[in-house]
Amino acid sequence: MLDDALNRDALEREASGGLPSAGSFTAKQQSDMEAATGSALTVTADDIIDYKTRTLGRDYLALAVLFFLVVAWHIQNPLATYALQFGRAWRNAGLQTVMGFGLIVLTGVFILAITRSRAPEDQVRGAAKGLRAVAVAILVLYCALTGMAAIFKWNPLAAVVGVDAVWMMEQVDDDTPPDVSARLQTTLVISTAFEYAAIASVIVLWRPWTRFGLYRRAGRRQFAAIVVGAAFLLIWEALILLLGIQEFLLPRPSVIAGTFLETYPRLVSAAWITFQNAFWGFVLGCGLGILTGMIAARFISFSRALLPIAIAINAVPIIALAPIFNNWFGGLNPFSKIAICAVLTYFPAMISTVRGLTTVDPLSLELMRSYAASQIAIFRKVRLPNALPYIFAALKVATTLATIGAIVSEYFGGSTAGLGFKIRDDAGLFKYPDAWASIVMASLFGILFYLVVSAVERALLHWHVSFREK
Amino acid sequence: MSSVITIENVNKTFRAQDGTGVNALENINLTIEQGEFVSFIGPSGCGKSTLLRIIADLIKVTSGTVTVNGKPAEQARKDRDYGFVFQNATLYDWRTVRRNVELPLEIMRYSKAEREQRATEMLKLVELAEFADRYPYQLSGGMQQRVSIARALSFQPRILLMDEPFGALDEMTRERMNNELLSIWGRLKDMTVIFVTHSISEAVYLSSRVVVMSPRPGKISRIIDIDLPRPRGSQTRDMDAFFHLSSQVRHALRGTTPDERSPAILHDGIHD
Repeated sequence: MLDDALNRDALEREASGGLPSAGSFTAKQQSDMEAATGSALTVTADDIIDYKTRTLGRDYLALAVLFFLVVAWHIQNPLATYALQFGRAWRNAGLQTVMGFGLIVLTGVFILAITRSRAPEDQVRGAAKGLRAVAVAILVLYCALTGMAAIFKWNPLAAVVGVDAVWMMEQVDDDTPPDVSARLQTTLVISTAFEYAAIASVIVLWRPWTRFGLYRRAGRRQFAAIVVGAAFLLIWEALILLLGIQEFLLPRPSVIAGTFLETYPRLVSAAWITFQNAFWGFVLGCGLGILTGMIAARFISFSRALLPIAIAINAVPIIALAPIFNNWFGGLNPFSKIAICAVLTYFPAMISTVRGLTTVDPLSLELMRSYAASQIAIFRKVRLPNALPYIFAALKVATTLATIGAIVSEYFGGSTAGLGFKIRDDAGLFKYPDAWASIVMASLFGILFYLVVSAVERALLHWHVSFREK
Repeated sequence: MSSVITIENVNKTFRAQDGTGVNALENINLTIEQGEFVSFIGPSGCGKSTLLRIIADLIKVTSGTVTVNGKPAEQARKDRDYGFVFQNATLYDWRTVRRNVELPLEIMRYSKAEREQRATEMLKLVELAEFADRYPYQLSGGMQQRVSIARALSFQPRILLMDEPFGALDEMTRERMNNELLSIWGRLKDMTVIFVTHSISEAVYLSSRVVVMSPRPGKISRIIDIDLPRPRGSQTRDMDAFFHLSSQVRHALRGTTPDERSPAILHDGIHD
């Protein structure tokens, strides 16, 4: 799916040759491209990318793969997990499993997107082809080794070197037998060599040096936003210094950043707890919302009766129910948070599903009638694909709602972990920079959640009008 | 020749919101033989699209009978006896060109191998084989409409119903599409085509018979046989007979009789 999306612009380019009205190129762009191909003395024709129709999708994917590679390296050896600041962020076993799966899935998508791409610049021959094969092999091996260590807590490399699996789970300290720590050190050196090879492989496959034009264009586009963002932070910093605002009212961004860098391993652990609640609430709420939306859409009179009520309930500030839910399910029970997130996300998902399933072009339905199609066929082939853009719009809103729900319900409840709890706790102890650092972490997780859903949307709905190249 | 479509005493009344009825069609009688190319022409509101949809059983008659292939229209629809081409290509955005052509075959439970083979064949027929893996939005309007024709023909119906299929295209593209349609029709032996249009030249150029309709209430005002030689091509449009027949259709539309001394202005269509 994703590689289809990546291929699409290449297809368009091919199409533009024989296609008078659907071509995405002006005559000038065409002649520019021809000129570029003609004068390809230093750059081969394969390296020429038409930046105007490209997106940064592959670059984000490559960066994500690099991030997961590094995280997995930190997870797979206790020397890295406990001794390094970045490693300490990934001590939670559940989080380690997710990061391991994430590494394998993302690397798989990344490799497939490049090897199966039909874009001209992705066609390599000769030595470059061999290099690519080697890079793919290294990546696959690295994923197998570190992914296994992250998911099953069993490091094949350590087993070869002769470290018992027990030691892989524990912090290395004075009680650790010296031969074990020496062997762990050996494992670490070998896996570091592997890590560097894997990073090099990603870069070989990614070939960022062929995409500079794209970055320049993206930079130019985002320039205003970057300037405004930087100016905002600078003015914030300056105003607090100039006006002498006390730290507990509003800390300087530099102080928040410093606290964040100092405490982020603990913040990741807290955010992981909050995120789990948000995620399961999201799955439960959206799943039920989509399901009941489908049932409601099937019975038009039923949905006509239901929809106004659903919209009315959706207008209720459901978040205010958080203390009541905590009372129902118990403040320490994660389900009280999950339930809030589920209720928050349920209504948008349900309403959008009904809208998407019922707002269908009448001609599309007439066409199906002309084929004497069954109701099930109409649902599967017309209504459901038609509803997907609506559903994804709701899912994206739901990611934010679920994050808010999880944090606020922790804030209200008797929970002892999570970002909401941490913010309340730090604020109670006058540790305002810590509270602000938690807020930063909460926004990072919220944004990440949103981006993941957006990426899935982009891969599935690449045909949709909102994703077509301008 | 045997009759494929028989329309007897068909009336259609649409109920408006305020309860009054609008007579869309009044007492329509028409018989269409196998292998004919029949055009329905008339101004907006004459019920030509309604009549086509009644033949397709997309809407029901108020009274009268429609027989398609010797069966009631509803049975013919359920037996998938006809292919329908709409004014818009009505392709599904989320399917590639090939998968759009395969859509009716999927619904009719053809095997995967057969679907692929038929889609390839049909895309060759409309000369879009190399666009099979594109998405509809990557094609021009004319190409999209060709895909929709390939889709309508993919399950080899013996009847093709077309509702102003080229109405949204520019004149040049439309003339090219007319030629392509005629060549497809020529290759598929004995296929019956019913073609709704509001262009006189298109109706005359394509058809073996032109059914001229008039509005309020919608009824058939004249049926004109088009005996221009086949195969037709650009030379057909320059024939005296072509001008003569076009002028007959035009007069039938206006309800006047042709006057040999003052030939009607040619080349204009009916504008809504």
